[in-house]
Formats: sequence, C-alpha cells, structure tokens
Amino acid sequence: MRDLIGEPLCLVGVGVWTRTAASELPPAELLGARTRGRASLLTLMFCEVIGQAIGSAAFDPSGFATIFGSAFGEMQRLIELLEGMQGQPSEVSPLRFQTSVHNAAAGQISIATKNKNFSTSVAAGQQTVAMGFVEAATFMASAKERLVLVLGDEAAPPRLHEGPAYEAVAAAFSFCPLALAPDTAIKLQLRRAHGASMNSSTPLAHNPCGILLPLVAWLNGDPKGSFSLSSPGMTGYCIDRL
Amino acid sequence: MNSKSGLAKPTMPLAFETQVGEVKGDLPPLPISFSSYESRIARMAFMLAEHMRGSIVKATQRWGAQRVAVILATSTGGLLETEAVHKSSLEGKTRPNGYGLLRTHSLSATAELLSQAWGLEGPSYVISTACSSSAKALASAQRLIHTGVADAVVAGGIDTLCLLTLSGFASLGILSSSACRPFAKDRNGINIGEGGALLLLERDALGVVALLGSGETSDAHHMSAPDPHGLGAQSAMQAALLQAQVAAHDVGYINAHGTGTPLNDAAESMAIARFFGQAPTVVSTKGYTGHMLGAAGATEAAFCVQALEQGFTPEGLGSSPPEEGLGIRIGLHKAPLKSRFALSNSFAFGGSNISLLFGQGSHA
Repeated sequence: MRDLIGEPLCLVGVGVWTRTAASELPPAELLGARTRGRASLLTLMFCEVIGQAIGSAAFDPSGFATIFGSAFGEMQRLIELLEGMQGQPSEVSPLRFQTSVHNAAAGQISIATKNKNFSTSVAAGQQTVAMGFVEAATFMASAKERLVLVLGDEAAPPRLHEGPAYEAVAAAFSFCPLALAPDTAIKLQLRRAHGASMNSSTPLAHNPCGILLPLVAWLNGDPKGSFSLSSPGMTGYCIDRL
Repeated sequence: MNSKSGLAKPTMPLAFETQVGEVKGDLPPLPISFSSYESRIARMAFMLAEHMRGSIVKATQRWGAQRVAVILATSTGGLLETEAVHKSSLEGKTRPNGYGLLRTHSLSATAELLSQAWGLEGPSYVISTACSSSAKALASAQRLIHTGVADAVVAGGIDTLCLLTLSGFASLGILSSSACRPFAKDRNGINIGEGGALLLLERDALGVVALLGSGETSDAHHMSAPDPHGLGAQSAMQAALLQAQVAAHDVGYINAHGTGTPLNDAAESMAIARFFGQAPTVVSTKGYTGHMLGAAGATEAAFCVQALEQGFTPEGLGSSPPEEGLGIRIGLHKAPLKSRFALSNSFAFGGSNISLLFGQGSHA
C-alpha cells in the first residue's frame, strides 16, 4: 500500500496537441486575440490542451486548479531574450522577460479565464510527466477540487541542445474529486513501480514529455493493466486503470 | 541574528546602478562523481545540503531512502552558465566542456543532484513559479507528507544572480539603485539577491517548529503587477490559517513579501490590514538578503522558524520611517515574539500567491 501515490484520480477530460506542420500554431481560443498574438508556443500549446480538456470535462473555465509541468519551460522565449541581449546586454524587452518565467502560461491563462484558484508549475527533467502526476495525486488527495494537469515541452532548443532533435508536444488531463465523478470517469491509480521503463519508443521519444502521446493513446483506447511513466534506470512510477 | 544587510554593489559589470545580495567567495566544486552537474546553482545546492548532512542521514535511517523526497525550487536554474554558452555559440566559439541542457541549465538539475548524491529515492522535482517558487516547494512537501507519499522531504530553493535576470528587472523599472526600503515612505524598488535555504520537513519531527498550513491562490490580474487591492494575497493568508485552524489574532509575526516597490508593499499592506489589523508585527527581511526570487520563500520561512525558535521578531532593515497610513504595524526594531505562530508571504509574476503558517509548541 505504501507504493500507492495519493487516492484514485478520476479522469474526465483529455486534451492533446503536437505540431503536424512547421507553421502550425495551436488555436488557443481561451486567450484573447491580443494575448494570443504575443504568447509563446508553449503558452499557446498549454492553453489549447486546457481548452480541450475542460471542454470534454464540462469544467467552468474559472473553476479549477492547475498544475503545469515542463522540463524546460519557456525555452524559446529565453533564447529570444538571450539573442536580444547580444548587441545591447542591458536591453531586455519587459514583456518578453515577464513571460519567460516557468509559470508564464499559468499566469496568462489564469488572467484570460479569471481563474483565481491554486496553480503551480513543476519541472523534473525526464521525469516531468511522472512528477506532474505525483503533484496532481497529492493535490487531489489533499484538496479534493477539480484539477487540470498540463504537461509538455517545446521543440529542442537550437544552439543549446546537442542531442537528437524533437518536436513540441503537450497534453492536459482533467480530474474531478471522487465524490463528484460521473459514471464515465476513468479511475486511475498512480503508484511506484520498481524497475519500470518507458512504455514504447515514439517519434517524440527525445522530448522530455514525449511519453504524453502514447499515454493519451492508452487512455483513449480501452486501457488495461498499467502504463509506465518513467525512463529506464530511474525510480519508476506507473498508472493503473481501476 | 545580526541586523546587518548583505546588500552591496554587484561585482558583475552592469549598465545600470543597483545593489545586490551576492554570495561572496568561492563555492567548493562538486565531488568529481557529480561533475556533470557543475554550475553555480548546483554548488550552492550541494553546499546547503552538506550543512544539513546529519539531519538528512538521520531521516534516511529513520524512514528509508524511498520515503525521503527532494522538492526544490528555482527561477533561474543554470541560466548563468547558459548565458555564457549561448554567447559563445553566437560568436562561433567552442562550447565550454561539461555544459549540458539537462544537467547544467534545467531547473530540476539541483533536485536530481541532491537525490543522487544523498541516495534519496522518494519523489524528486522542482517547483518554478518565479518568486513564490520555494514557498510552494514547502507546500508541496507538506502535501507529500500529509498524503503519506513521503515521511521526510528535503525542501527549499536556490537562485543565482545572472545578467538576464538583473537586466529584466531593470527593464521593468523596479530595481532600486540603493539598498531596498520595504514599507518605507521613500521606498523605490527592489534589489536582487542570490543564495538559498533548505529545510527538512519530517513526519513526527523532533523540532520545535512545524509548517501548519499553506494557502495558494492566483490574482488573475496582471503578469507582473499585483492586484492593487491585495485580494489574492488576502485569500492566500486566509486559506493558510483555515488549513491550520489558527485564528488571525493568534499570529504574532508576519514575514511580508515586502519587496520595496510602491505597488507590492501597498497591496500587501492593504491585505494584511484587512485580515489581521495592527496586531501582528510585520517585517520584510529583504533588507538583509535582497529579493532572492525563487529562493525567497524558503529563506523567509527560515527567518520565521528562527523567530519562533528564539522568540523574537527581526529588525525591519530599511523600513524606517515607514509610510504612514499603511494600516499595519511595521517592526522597526528587534523585539520579543510572544505568539506561537508566524506567517510568511510570497507573491510572484503571473499573480502567484502563497502564505505559509508556522507554529511552535503543542499545536505543532
């Protein structure tokens, strides 16, 4: 029993986005046009998947807690700032600076939706998806409020990343408290799983959040058994469908 | 505790005037087996953990490695090193040896380092919500223990000075050219500080102070300015007290976010005055440290723990004379603390608010 993480999570909505064409941007309709025009790709991705996940869960846009997870966060915005500093080191765009923080998407989306609830942002490298679920499971067990867990990373950052290139991906998961769960909710239990390894190789395998696509596919199918969230050689976490 | 400010002119050349809270002297390099994590922030994290080695070892022996988690916080991660690597790359120079995106730059590298170095196998991650980060790390740690996922958590935050951060705050027009003066009549902005604090949170702990409650809210108002009425701040304070089942009149000391900007201090004062009146002593300790950004919440939690353990409230460095009409009682001098409860506020970009309530004695 000590391997179980929190109480069962009642999944009531899912959103997912990955780039299928180089020029494609997520619609991100929760944001106003002005904010959308200035937002980073990560913020647009997160906004888009939240919109999908709360749409299928029928959540009020201002009535849920949020946990964001990303290994590198607003990396493209950071690189824009660093490039801007090359000529004039003291010349930094205040707008870009304030939207370069790890919780930039959380802030912009809460402002757009007038959502004043709990929000946090986590990072855990290759374990970001697993640790996002840990944070979600402990929050749900403590607070018993509606929650959207939002996870993702942008494409590999040029100049700084030396490994294989990868594309952007994001997904969101809407959870409701057990007492409010409709019959259609998928009940999931997070647990430690010693020696667990990544479920499968995917086109996004090198993205720290690349496991999101196979996870969403597993949830959208007829999930049986368990799904591993961790990388080989790391302390393992997996999800069981109850 | 000495009432001495750590603020001074920066050693880093800048195109603008300011003061910073800078960690002086050389930081010891990481052990060779962890050299792939080398960065200034990693050295600071490792040094802080070394200071509490005995406590970490005892907790691991008491609970087992799988039951000890590491929840850290930062807003910069290894940005200092990334600035140099990016500049080299643009100039066509060779990338410095040892730089890696995951182990040098990434926000979570410090948590990964401490988990590996101390053999801790519980959950390991970083909270990064700008200036509320490490207070939120403590709240996450509290939830891990409360829900039975961990029995002990090494929690806290670390941040380092870098050019982008200093230039970014300068671009917002909120850096003070002199030492910051939280709640003072003539306050004119913040100073950035570096460093950090780690705390060990433990089930059935033997310490005299406990984290009793946390309240986390969002302003939903503006990316870099607080709700001018302090409504989100007030609801965070109320939630922390509600979770701890402690009444407002029982809180004797508030370690305010108190950055020293006119807007922050006015909004926070309004929120405190509405909820607490003039009963608690309100002190911002940023006159000692500067604003340590992602490390501020944990550092200020340590001020609260020390105040409760030693029974005093610190001097509010730089706050004299305070602005009249704020409606709160600013602690200008070191004074006895008779209450068993202390509250710490942290607010951040994106309208992120958190209040932590600490208590001593049987209630804890």
